[in-house]
Amino acid sequence: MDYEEGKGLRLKQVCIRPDGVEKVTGHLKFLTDLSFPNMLFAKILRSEYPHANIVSISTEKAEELPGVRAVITSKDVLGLNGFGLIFPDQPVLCKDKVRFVGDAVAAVAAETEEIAEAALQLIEVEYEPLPVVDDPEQAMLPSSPQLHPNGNILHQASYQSGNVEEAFQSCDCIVEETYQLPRQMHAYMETEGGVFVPEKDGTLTVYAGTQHGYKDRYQLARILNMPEEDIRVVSSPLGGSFGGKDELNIQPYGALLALKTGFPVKIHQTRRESVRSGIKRHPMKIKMKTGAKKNGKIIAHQVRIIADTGAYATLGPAVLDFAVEHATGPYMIPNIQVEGYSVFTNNGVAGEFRGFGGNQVTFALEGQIDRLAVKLGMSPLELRQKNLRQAHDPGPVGQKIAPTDGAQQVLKQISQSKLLNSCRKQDHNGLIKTGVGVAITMHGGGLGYGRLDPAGGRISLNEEGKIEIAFGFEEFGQGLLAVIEQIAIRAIGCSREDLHIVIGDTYKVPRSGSSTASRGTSMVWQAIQRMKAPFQNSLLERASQCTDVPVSQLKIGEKGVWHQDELLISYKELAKQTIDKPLIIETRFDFPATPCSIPGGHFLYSFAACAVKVEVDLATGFVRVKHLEQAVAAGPVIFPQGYLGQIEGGSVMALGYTLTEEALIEKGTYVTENFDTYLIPTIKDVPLSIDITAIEELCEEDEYGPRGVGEIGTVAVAPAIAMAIYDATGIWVNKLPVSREEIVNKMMETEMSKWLTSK
Amino acid sequence: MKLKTLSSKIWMPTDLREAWRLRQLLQLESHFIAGGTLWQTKWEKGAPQPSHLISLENIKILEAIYEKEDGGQNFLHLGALIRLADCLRYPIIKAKWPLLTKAVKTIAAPAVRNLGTIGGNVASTIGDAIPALLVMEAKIGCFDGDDIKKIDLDHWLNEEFKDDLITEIVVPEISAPPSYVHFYQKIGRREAFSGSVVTIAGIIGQNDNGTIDFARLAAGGGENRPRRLRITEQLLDGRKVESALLKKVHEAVFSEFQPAGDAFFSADYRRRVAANIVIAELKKLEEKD
Amino acid sequence: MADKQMSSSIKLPSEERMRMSIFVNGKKKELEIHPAARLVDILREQLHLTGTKISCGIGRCGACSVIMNGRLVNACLVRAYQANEKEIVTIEGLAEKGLHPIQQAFLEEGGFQCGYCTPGMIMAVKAILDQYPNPTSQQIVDGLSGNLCRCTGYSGIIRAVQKLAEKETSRLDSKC
Ligand SMILES: Cc1cc2nc3c(=O)[nH]c(=O)nc-3n(C[C@H](O)[C@H](O)[C@H](O)COP(=O)(O)OP(=O)(O)OC[C@H]3O[C@@H](n4cnc5c(N)ncnc54)[C@H](O)[C@@H]3O)c2cc1C
Ligand code: FES
Ligand code: FES
Repeated sequence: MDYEEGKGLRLKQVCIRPDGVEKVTGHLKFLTDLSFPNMLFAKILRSEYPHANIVSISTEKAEELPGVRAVITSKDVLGLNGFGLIFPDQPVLCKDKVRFVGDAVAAVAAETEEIAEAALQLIEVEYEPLPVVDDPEQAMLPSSPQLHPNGNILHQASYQSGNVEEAFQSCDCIVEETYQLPRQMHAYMETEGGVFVPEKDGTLTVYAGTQHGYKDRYQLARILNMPEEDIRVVSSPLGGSFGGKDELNIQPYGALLALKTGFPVKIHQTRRESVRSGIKRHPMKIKMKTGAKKNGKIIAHQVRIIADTGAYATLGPAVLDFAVEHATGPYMIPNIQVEGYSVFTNNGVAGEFRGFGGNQVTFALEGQIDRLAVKLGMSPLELRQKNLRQAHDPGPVGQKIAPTDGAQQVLKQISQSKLLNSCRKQDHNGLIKTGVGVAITMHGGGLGYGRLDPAGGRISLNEEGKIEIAFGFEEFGQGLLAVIEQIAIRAIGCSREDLHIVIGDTYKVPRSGSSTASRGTSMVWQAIQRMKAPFQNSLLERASQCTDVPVSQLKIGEKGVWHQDELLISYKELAKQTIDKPLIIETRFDFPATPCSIPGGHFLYSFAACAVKVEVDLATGFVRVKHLEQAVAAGPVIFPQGYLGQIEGGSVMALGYTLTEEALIEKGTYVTENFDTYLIPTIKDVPLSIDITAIEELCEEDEYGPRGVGEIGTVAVAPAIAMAIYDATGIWVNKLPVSREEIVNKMMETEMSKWLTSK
Repeated sequence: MKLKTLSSKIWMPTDLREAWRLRQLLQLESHFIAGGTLWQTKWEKGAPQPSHLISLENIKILEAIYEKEDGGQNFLHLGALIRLADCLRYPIIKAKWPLLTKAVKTIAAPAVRNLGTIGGNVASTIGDAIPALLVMEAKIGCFDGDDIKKIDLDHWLNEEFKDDLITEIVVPEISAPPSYVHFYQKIGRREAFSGSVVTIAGIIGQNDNGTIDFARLAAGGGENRPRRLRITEQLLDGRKVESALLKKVHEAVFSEFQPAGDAFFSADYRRRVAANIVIAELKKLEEKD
Repeated sequence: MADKQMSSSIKLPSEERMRMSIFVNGKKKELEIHPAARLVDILREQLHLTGTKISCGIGRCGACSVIMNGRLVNACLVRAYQANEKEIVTIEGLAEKGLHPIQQAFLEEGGFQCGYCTPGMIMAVKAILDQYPNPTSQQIVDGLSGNLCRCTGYSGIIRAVQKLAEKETSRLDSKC
């Protein structure tokens, strides 16, 4: 492939993304860049309180403001006043109760954004504040105010095998620790927005980014009380998503206002509005107790996860299931007990986020392994090796999975990293300490057992003579178009100029499911493998019919069908001659899930190992990641630039998660409201070298091709950094983002006397 | 919070008198604005927008920059409207006022520095340039309707009410022997482009037999108005770097520096870090010895 | 009466307008506009130059970076009265004849993914290269420290700028 042995993945061969030129020239119209004649602008009024009853809402004054065209409240919701990917418990517009500061109470459409904004201030809402439930553990108590009719526990999940209590009795070494993970913000650079256009024929066109156009259409149809077919959702491209735009955000308000006014309505949230209303990564508190024998064999692992899911469900249950499933990761442990709770609070809303609960449990799990290694006096790599799964072992919850040697492969690869044996620099004052750390992970792809996970695609020869490939996936930066292009060129044998790729428009694409859970690349590959032979055969047959040359002598190539090194008939000509019976091949199938009945149980996994070198400044507690390496086993690399970009970008996102990022909420209200206080890494915060090695080899019997790598690069980074900090300072990090304060305080205790001694 | 258009009327005086007159006329209904970068941040956080904004950007005299000798000492005169980026562009500043260069480099990022002014940074009373200016004992020029008065920056910062029109920042050149340490450190929440948690500057010098004969320290950060650490300075004066002193200095900084904490970093953390940095610099001085 | 007071305490966008002219990508534009309108909105909404993006609105991300009179600025921080009579170059002004070498390098090295930070990032790179034709890595990271990218982790961006710098070096070398 395109990487040089021993040097990590490198871009030897230049391959320009199909959407590249438009992106670098600024010509690409994002959906928030669109405008239409007579367009109105909308603003959404969000709750003043994290928890309150609504006593009354009066919109008269706002309606009277010149330039205001419509004001909507819960009364104006045409259909179901609720949304949510799993179940619709989040009100579109709150009627009598608000449960978080992002709850929408009213929305306004006006001739300008400024008028809409001014109108919001004229809407009078009388609230009766209620006690704020801001701690998930408190929320679980019966005495806590109940946020939903079925109580505060949204979802409970568990897994058990063997007998942990007994096993702990025979352990030589036990580590018990509680880990706390923060509320991370996706921080996609394009905030939520789009334009909603009521068409003359009574239909509605929605131009708003999402990860799953058909799902938005389904949810909007319910809210608008409109047939799904009457709604067209144009949903790509997006300026980033990372899971954050899979759930509905501003769509219901734009749609309702467009229908009410009869004019196109634009909404583009400010960053502040985005922070306040948008979903975040689940904060989790994870307690783990892990025991091993003297020889390093881990025999018991007990886990309790409490996830703060915020005010509404969205994908909370699925995230918890994922965390429970991944709580033992790639290790074979005979006695396991995992229980997890996803709990409602008034703290924002947590939902889907790249990594999907895996990041949190992996931080805890890898932390346990490192602590055990230190306690046992064993090298962390050796301890991992001792307990690591083999190719044919069952999955982490005992389920049948596709055989994979990924865990062994990535561990072996990372063990060879020069980083781990690099020299430990010490500055003259002894205050800058260097350390290294490693962590590994496995990560399931697809939605898993028991979740509808249909996929599909379409190949056709369109009227213009282009080979049209259509998928219902979305492009939010991951390079989907390049992936489709590369797979199609290789499978079909045509050139990139012969292709026309269509995505992100429910009027034009088949159903492919959501662009989520690292399923995109995998689905595209599988779909094209399925469609390739029928398409090629049919194409050749048609060519043969048009030219009277037998199929056996024909070959698909650039521009058309070839015969003995000569272009015999172009695709254009072929399309023209067969216009009466267009060539269309479609496929539908389900993303492979484990046959074992475990909710959310996965079948396909990818693996990663991460090594880092950090510098810790004891005087300030500042941690700098100097080098980072990742080895990834996720099958063949389709589009090297995209693969590399996913792992590099994922690494840095995880670096932010580890060191600076936290969407801080105090008493239900965000403290971090924009990029001045919510700090994602800048170019100065990242290691200048990030080395990626792609392990492409799959097990012989593996017929599933490339796996997606959208998430895997984010998972192992945090625990690797935590280990490196321990290596440098002897301080165990159990809470993210890493507390500089704790490092400085500990250093005051241990190094102070040395520090305050002159030479 | 309304950022897209402001409700304020914008005045663009072309000389100091006019600006001053407008301010007298409009009083509390008005504010001066230079680059406007800080204002923008405040408005977004909900600070009320005044009815009138008096832009200083057309007052040419505020863009002056020059060196001038006075009483045997060389001074840098920086017009209040000099953009932060320009403070970095003049080689002369880098050569003779390196601490200023170091400080300005830590402020925001290039694009913001092309808009924000040094006057605005100082007038904000919390700007990151201030600790550096304090240890260099800079003065500011304030226009009072008739005259430009020179006021010690330190003194001005300690006054309660600030309604002055700042015309320039005047920074003495400190021709220190190589045995002096100059330092400026801004500890932000990340490596770059973040608000300050602790900003600390200092100049410490010792004579040939290792006795400290020059000590100036100033610290600030976040919403904390920077100030000189005079008690610590006095403690240092006339002493040699030795373990007993280090311990005392650490304690002195810790007790003298009294910043407020916020949701991200406690007051204690800030004090510890400030103390640690001063110690680290003293150790450097020891090495120079 | 109470109502009247209430609505008068809400400040409506002032009707005040000023005539301004700006030179955008070499073309003179005359506008009637509120003097405090933001440059980013003027570009995106009045002139339909949507290549310049908006993400934070407070100068903290660089998505709106443009070059004004030869200097990189955040278009969300610049008000109409400040842009009056100024020359603005936006991303649309960069590729008037084929792709600019910076854009080519971003394409080849994966300097972008979703593309939302990209116009601002490319303008920031231009500002660096205008100042230092052969920038050091320190100058590169200093120059880009105000431009956030959530997708790439900056690696591809660094590769792209280094590639440009290398090209510049070999161009200079071949000249001597
Ligand atoms: C994204 C971003 C990042 C930033 N990062 C930093 C940072 O790291 N460190 C830092 O210190 N600052 C930072 N700032 C704040 C600000 O940019 C600087 O302090 C800048 O120097 C302010 O200058 P200005 O001309 O833009 O001030 P303005 O916003 O115009 O004014 C600031 C204040 O000073 C007053 N004022 C301005 N000029 C005068 C004058 N001549 N006489 C009297 N009063 C005057 C104004 O009335 C106002 O109260 C940042 C701002 C932004 C937007
Ligand atoms: S939008 Fe201007 S800097 Fe973020
Ligand atoms: S490419 Fe998406 S933010 Fe930079």
